[in-house]
Amino acid sequence: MDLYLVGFLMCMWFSSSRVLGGYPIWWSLALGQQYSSIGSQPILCGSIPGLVPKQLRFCRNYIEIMPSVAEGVKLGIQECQHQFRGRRWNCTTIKDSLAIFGPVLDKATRESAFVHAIASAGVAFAVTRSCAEGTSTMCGCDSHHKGPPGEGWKWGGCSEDAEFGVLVSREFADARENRPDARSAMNRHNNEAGRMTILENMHLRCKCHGLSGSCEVKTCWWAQPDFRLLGDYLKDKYDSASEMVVEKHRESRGWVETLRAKYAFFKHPTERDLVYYEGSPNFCEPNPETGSFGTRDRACNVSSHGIEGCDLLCCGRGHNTRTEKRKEKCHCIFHWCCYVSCQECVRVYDVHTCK
Amino acid sequence: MRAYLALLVALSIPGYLDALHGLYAFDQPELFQKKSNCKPIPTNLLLCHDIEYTNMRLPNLLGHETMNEVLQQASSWTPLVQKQCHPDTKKFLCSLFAPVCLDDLDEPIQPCRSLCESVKSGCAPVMAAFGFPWPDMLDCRRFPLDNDLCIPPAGADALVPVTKEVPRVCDACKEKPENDNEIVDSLCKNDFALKIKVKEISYMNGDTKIIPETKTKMIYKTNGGVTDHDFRKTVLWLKDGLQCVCDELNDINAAYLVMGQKMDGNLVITSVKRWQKGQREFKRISRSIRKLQC
Repeated sequence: MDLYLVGFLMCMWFSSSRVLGGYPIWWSLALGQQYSSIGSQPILCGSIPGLVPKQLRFCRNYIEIMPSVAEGVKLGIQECQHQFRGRRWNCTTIKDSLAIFGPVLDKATRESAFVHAIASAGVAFAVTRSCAEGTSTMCGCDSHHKGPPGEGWKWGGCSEDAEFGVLVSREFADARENRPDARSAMNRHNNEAGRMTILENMHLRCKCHGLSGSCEVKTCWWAQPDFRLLGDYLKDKYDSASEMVVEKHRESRGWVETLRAKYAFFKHPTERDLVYYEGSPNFCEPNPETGSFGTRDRACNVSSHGIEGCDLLCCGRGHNTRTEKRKEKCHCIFHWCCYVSCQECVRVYDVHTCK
Repeated sequence: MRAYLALLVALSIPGYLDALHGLYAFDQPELFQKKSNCKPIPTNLLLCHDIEYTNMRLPNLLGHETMNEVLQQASSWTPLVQKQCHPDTKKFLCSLFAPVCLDDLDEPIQPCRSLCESVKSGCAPVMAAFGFPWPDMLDCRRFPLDNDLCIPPAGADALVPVTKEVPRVCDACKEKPENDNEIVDSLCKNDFALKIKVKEISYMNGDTKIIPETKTKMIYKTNGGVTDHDFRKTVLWLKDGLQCVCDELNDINAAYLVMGQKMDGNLVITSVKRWQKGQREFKRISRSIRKLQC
């Protein structure tokens, strides 16, 4: 009798931990050596945690592409940590956890919107790049050049097939966003916004192949922008994200939740904008329930009045200042041929951290 | 029985099994992979195959991403190097086509702007003569100023230049013939011959000033040319001593046979020879002086 109850409680606990684990769990692809494109071990789809059945099928059918998908998630996380490096929430990841961002993304906040967009863009970007590099036999250069060559140049090189990368990202990242609830609708929208950023920033890149570097012979191809540029763009979208409200409609398949702009007099979000419908927590103090780590001991900029300045980043609590001496290489000189010699300098830095 | 079934049900929940697989540290070294690779310089890259390093970066500094592209684009620059319009042409071009790979540096090393300007001033006219302007990809404004880490022009290196000039030996210190007649001729052309030990050497207005010790021995002096008064406070001069080398005078403790002339009131040295006691040549000198008939 009692043992049966214990078993039942264990069952509930595991279900609960599964729910509280945060999502989408497929971001754990960024973890683990065996998912890396460098590793020589074959990818075991079944061992990747958090994949829904559709993603599992995708993995097995397109195992060749999975290293690029994993690389793309990593790219997105790195870019997130760069873009938010001076913010109260700085895209911290949690070690030893499948929910690598913790519960901060459980709510439908604008932080969650950004992470979805940048991760989705990262996957599309990495897949597109690996296709152009020829690391996969399933894809390659985009051979359907759009339009005739311009005046004075011809098509050449390897035009990156961003459409294919976007297709892969859509198939994989949106696979778990087929529920009729508002959160699923929000995630699909933000994922697509991330992918759209790539398609809209493709540009012609050209090389001169003429004699002695002249441009008598010039070839051009479509190329993705630098991923940093995409990160900058999406960060602007984060800052101007549109707040929504949830509406419920009864459809033939039951209740369906959709999103509507909260303020009618504001510009309605386009498919390129990020959307959210829940407020962000105060990231000033640590709060395990919201996933906030707080800003205590964060480095801040004493001379800035912006968000990364000590006043705002430290939430008015003030900051400590200490002096650090760091040994650095300096006055490096290249000697022909061929070595570099450097002097060693001790530099003094004032380090300001939040109280 | 029931408890066993309940536990089995609990263990079969997918979340429980998934949780066992995913515990990994986020920090992975391969997150920061190097994007460029080190490749050996191929022998058919004629522009650079005999450069002083063996490995190059790919992609290179001109945006060439495959070795075939490098080979194709570099081939048209080989004739320019053969024109020898500047001693650093190859070094400059290879720093871009086949940039050097250094293990301890992640950033590529670019040519200094001064290296580019120097090669451009020498070679742009040659290219223009063949109808090619200096290309945008070699625009010198792209390259770092010389206080940054970059490949400098040859003169800026600490290495000794090959064309370094050997210092000139002072005329008075060169090896002289030693037969008796030539010694007599040499003496007759000069106003004095002294046996001295050096007390002090200094430099003034580019000349070497030699102050002998007081025990100067008069070997020879012409009649009427040099007086005893001249040797009361002897100062000897080696003309343009700063511009030339006199190894003979390096031994400050040795005795010297010095010959010279009186010019404008100064005793100017025309010959310096280390006095070696007991040597036969100096006995000959003594005998020659005795037979002197100028």
